Amino acid sequence: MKPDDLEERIKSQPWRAIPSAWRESVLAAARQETEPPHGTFGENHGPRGGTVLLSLRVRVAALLWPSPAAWAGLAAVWIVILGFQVTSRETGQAPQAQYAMPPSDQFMQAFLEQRRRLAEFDGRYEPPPFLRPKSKPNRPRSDRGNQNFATCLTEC
Amino acid sequence: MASEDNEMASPLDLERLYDEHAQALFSYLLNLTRNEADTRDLLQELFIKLVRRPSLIQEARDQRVFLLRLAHNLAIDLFRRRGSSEKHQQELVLPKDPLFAPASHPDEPAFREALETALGDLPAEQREIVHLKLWEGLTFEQIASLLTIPLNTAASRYRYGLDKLRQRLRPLYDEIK
Repeated sequence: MKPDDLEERIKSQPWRAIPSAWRESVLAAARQETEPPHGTFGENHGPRGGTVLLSLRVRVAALLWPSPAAWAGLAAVWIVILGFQVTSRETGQAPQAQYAMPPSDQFMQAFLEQRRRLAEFDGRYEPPPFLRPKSKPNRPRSDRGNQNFATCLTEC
Repeated sequence: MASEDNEMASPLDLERLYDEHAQALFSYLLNLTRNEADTRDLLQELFIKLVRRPSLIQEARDQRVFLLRLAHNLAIDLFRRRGSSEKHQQELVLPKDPLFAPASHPDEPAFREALETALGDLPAEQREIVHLKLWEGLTFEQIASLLTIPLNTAASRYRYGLDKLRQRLRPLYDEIK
C-alpha cells in the first residue's frame, strides 16, 4: 500500500536530538562495569559520582521489582514489631509477665470451679479425689453390727 | 564484574555503538516512556547490559534491531516495576517531554504538537509499532521478530494506529498544506 501524503508528512517529522551530555555519562557508566571495583561508594566524587548514583538508582529499582509497595509494607511491619520490642523493654516488663500465672491455690480453685461447672453442664460431674467426702468403707452388715457394738461398749 | 566476555567489548566498540545507535534508541525510548529521565535510565541500563554480555550483540544479525529489542524489553521491565497505577498517575501529573525537534516553518509547531498528542493517545503497542515502521523503517517481519508477536498482529496494530493518527491529524493537515 502506497503511503499517502499525510503519512509521508508524519514520517518526515524530525525527532529531538539526544542531549550531547549523555554520551560521556552513559559510556562512563558502562565502562565502570569493565573495571574492577576500587575504593568504597563514598569515595566516588566528581563527575563520575553522579554516574555512580544514577547506576545505583537503576540497580535499586531492579531490586525492588516487582513491587516497591510490597517491600515498603514489609519494612513497615518490621518497624512496628521492633517498636513493640523496644517499648516493652523500656517499661521493664517482659511480655510474658503480662500473662503470668496467678498463685497456684487460686489457680487450682478457679480450675476446679470451671471443671465443676462444665461437668454439671454435661451432667457428669465427679469431684476430684481430694474433694470427695470421706466415705466409710463398706463392710458387711455383720461387721458393721460388730463395729457398732464395739463402739457402744467403749462409749456407753 | 570482569569476565571473559567483558574483555571483548573494547571502549571503541562502545563508542561506535553509541554514535551509531543512541539517537535511534533515544527517540524510540522517549516515544515509549514520554519521559526524558526514564529514557536516560533505560539507555544507560542498555549499555551496561551490553558491556556485561557483549557476545549478544556481536552474534546479532542486525545490530539496530537487536538494540531496539533490548530497549523494548527494558522498557517493559520498567513499566512492570512501576505498576499500572503509578504509571497512570505519572501520565496525569508529569508534563510530557517534547518528542520532536523545534520547527522552523510557522505551520510546523502546531502539526508537531498535534502529532505528539495523537501519538500519546495511542495504545502503547500501536505507538511503538508505528514508530518502528515510520521512523525506523523496519519491515513487518522485523517488527514481529523484535516484539515477538505474529506478523499479522504487527501489521494490524500498525494499520489501526496509523488510521487513528490520520483521523486526528487530517483536518489540521488539510488546513495547513
